[in-house]
Amino acid sequence: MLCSLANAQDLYDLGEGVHGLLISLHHPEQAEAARAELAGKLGAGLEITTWMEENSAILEALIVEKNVMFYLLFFITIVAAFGITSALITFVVQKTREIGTLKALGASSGQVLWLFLSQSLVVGVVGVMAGFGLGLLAVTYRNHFLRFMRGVTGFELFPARIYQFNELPGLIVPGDIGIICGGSLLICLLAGLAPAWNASRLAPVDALRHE
Amino acid sequence: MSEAAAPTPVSPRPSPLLLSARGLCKAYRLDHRIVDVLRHVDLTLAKGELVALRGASGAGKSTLLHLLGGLDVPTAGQIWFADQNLATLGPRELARFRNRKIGFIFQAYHLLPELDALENVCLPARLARVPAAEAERRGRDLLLRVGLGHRLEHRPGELSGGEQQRVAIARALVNAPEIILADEPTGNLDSHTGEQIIALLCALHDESRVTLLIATHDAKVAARAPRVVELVDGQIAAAPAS
Repeated sequence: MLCSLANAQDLYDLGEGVHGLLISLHHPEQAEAARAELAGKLGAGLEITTWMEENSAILEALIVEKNVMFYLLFFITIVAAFGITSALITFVVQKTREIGTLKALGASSGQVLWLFLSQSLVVGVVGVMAGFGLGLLAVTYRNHFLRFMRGVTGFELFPARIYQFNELPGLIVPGDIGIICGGSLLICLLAGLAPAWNASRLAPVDALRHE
Repeated sequence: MSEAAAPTPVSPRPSPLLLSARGLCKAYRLDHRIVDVLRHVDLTLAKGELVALRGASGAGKSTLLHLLGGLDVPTAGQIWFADQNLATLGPRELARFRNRKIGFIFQAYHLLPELDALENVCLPARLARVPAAEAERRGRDLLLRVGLGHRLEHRPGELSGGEQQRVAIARALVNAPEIILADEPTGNLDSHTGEQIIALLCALHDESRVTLLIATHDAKVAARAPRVVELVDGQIAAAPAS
């Protein structure tokens, strides 16, 4: 039932008062700060609740989803790292004679180690740069993508009736990006370390005789 | 070595010893069996000498060259390069020794297929951290000297066997080593190309007086050397004086 404020005040005999006020913020994540400010100005005897408290169950579910996604993506990165390790092990076996040649020509173990480690570094840097660019693109156009998927498949990936959001909210945190990019690069380097170490330890004569 | 019998106004100064192997042994374990590839080999090379190491396949020529060049370690015995006992060198020093003092030439050339001729020649210099421009200058000079001035940017796959071995010879010389160890340098080549390669090696030896040890099973190749060392079943059979 909808009625005017004046009729409602008459109906409940509130005079100039109201039961409550709904405040809309330009930046919803600043709800806690707005509540503190309002509490200071309005004084005691009033209850102020934020949208986060009113939707605590769904928000906690989202936090759990976010954590699960973190672990999923972490293990996907580990699997990708094993892919790099596997590719480099194959490469070292294929290039064993060339490693022997390099050592015969005077390459030190450190130079051979760096040669192969730099390969995984290049793979890591290219991967991180591509991931950074594509990731930012995906976050920026996330709602376009959701609409596109809904149009193509007819399936709602982020139903508003469950999540209470018309659009998928997103926040780009530079610190998080730094940790993700740095961590991925580190994992790539660690993935290349074992094959590079093996290559550097090859005995020159054995490597030269490798068929 | 034989002494000159005829009196000469000025007696030739003996060349200083460059490389000396004493009591070299090398054994490999093969299916729970010990195979003695080299047995108490003694060998000396004077600075600037050209020596042929002759022996049948499996006599231990390659193994001896690998030991002398610091690519492998002997089971027993010592190798002295000038005043340096190779056994005292750590892995990093041994790599540096191979890079600066030794030039290897292999039967199978062992060029890096991804690099062109000039890059292959420059590689030992780049490993020695010689600036790129200087390494390239040396590489170009050497490829011109071995007659491949027109093949600088050709990759090994685009070169004939003889040309690849010329690139390998240029590569062996790029750091101006004190000794070149050539392991069957004509083994993969036809006789005509092989003769050209040996002639080139001899010419470069005459020109630069670099010490040259050529391992070969070919009597004709060995005949080009003033001194021939015969290796039979891992032992020095004879070292005829020139």
